[in-house]
Formats: sequence, structure tokens, C-alpha cells
Amino acid sequence: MITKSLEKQPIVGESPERLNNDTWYAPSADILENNDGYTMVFDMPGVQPGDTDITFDDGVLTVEAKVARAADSDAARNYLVREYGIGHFRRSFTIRAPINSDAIKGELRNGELTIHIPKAEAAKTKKITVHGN
Amino acid sequence: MLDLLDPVATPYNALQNQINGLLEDFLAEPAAWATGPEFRRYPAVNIWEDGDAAHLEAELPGVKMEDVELLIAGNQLKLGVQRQVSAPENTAWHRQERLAGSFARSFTLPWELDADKVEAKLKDGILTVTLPKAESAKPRKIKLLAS
Repeated sequence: MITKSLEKQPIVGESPERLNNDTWYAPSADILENNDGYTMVFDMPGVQPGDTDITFDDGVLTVEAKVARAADSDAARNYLVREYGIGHFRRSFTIRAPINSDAIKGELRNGELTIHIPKAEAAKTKKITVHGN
Repeated sequence: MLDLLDPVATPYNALQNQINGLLEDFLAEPAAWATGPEFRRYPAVNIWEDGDAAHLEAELPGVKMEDVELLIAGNQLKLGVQRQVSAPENTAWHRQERLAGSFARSFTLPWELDADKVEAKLKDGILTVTLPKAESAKPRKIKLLAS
């Protein structure tokens, strides 16, 4: 019996999709915001920078990554404990806030993908100086 | 094949009895909010065996080798992980799904391990540990004397 890792099941009720014999999981995400923009950090163990595919289209950010070792997750192994499955990653987010989509940057290190999404200039909080007489 | 030599099949069932929550000694207390049942099973592991050794694999993205602790005693294995999820100053959290804090899990394997030959590797957030069987646990061929 395979129980899914909690880290790969962030949305209650969602199960991995199975398309064409591939298994897709939604990676866990942390979303932070500061004055300059948004930061999203995803858990993507086993993913190399070249395997990621991040697109922003019409207000929807889609993060996708193919996991090379997913191919041998069904290898004939004599499992004693099997708590997580191995599959590719995909998750989409709708971003309604005004952002600078040309300057979205991504960084992948130690299986952790960090995406920086800068806010549009007009959306940043601006300090207004008050002049006295 | 080993099942024929091992009169008691339960060592394989014993692995299912995981002793969780042994968090004293080398690890600090988990975060105050990390007390639900799901936190006792972090990190999720896959363990398989191939005759000579058991292999443990865990997904630990963002974790460095110095934050992982592995203790072996006989047929017991204890895996401790310290996971930091930090935010820079002046940031607000919108969503936190990644578990952070100190975690530890124990496993009982069906046979004794050779602690000197254990190898662990952490790459791209995946921890792979090779746990060879102790020599004394391997089946030995008994020479029959002709009479």
C-alpha cells in the first residue's frame, strides 16, 4: 500500500494525476511577499535546473518539472516501506496582483525551486514626503 | 529465499512498527505547532532491500548534510532531520506548506546492520542511505560432513 507523502499533497482531496502512464504531483509551495515582490519556494527533490518549465501566461503562473528518476520508480524492488511515490511536478497559480512578468526569475538548488516575482512599479508602496512651510 | 531460513516471519512486520517521537538527546523539541500526527512521519521514506543491503531513500529538499543525523544500533536506524524554512526580513507569509523544524523517526529492520559500512548521500534534495547487512545476519552455508 502506497501512502502519499504529505509534502506532495498540499491541497486536501487532490490525488496525483496519471496521464499517459506518468504520475504528476503538485509540489508543496511557500508563498511570501515583501515590498519588492513575491517569492515562491517549491519542494522539487531530484529535479535539475534543465528539467524545469516555468511559464506565465494570461495571469497564470505554471511551474512544471520532469523528474528523471520517475522512470524507475516502478522498478521491481523488494520494498519494506513505501511512503511516497515518485512522479513529475506541476502546479499553477493565478496571480491577480500587478506584477512585472518580464522580470520573473527562478533558482533551483538542492531540490528547492525559488521563484522571484517582482511587483509592477506602480504597485509598490511608495513613501510620500510631506513638505512643510 | 531468506524466509525459509528465518523461522519467524515477523521481522518484516516489525518494520511497520515505527517508533516515532524519540526526540530527546540529539534533537531539539519540534515547533509548538508541529504536533499533529502527520509530523511524526516526516520525512517520508522508501525502504527496500536487495539481498545484501537495505536502501533508504527520503526526499529532503533544501536540507544540508550537516542537518541530517543517522544513528545505527543493531537493527535499529534513527533518522533525524533539521529543516529550516527561513524568510528574509520584512516579508509576509501568504502560504506555508513546507514542513519546518526538527524531526526524527526510528525504524527497525529485519536484520542486523553493519554500521561501519553504511553510506549516505544527499544530492538534489534526495537522501540515499545504503545499509549493508551485518555479516552475522547473512545466511551461511553449512558444510555437511560425509560420514
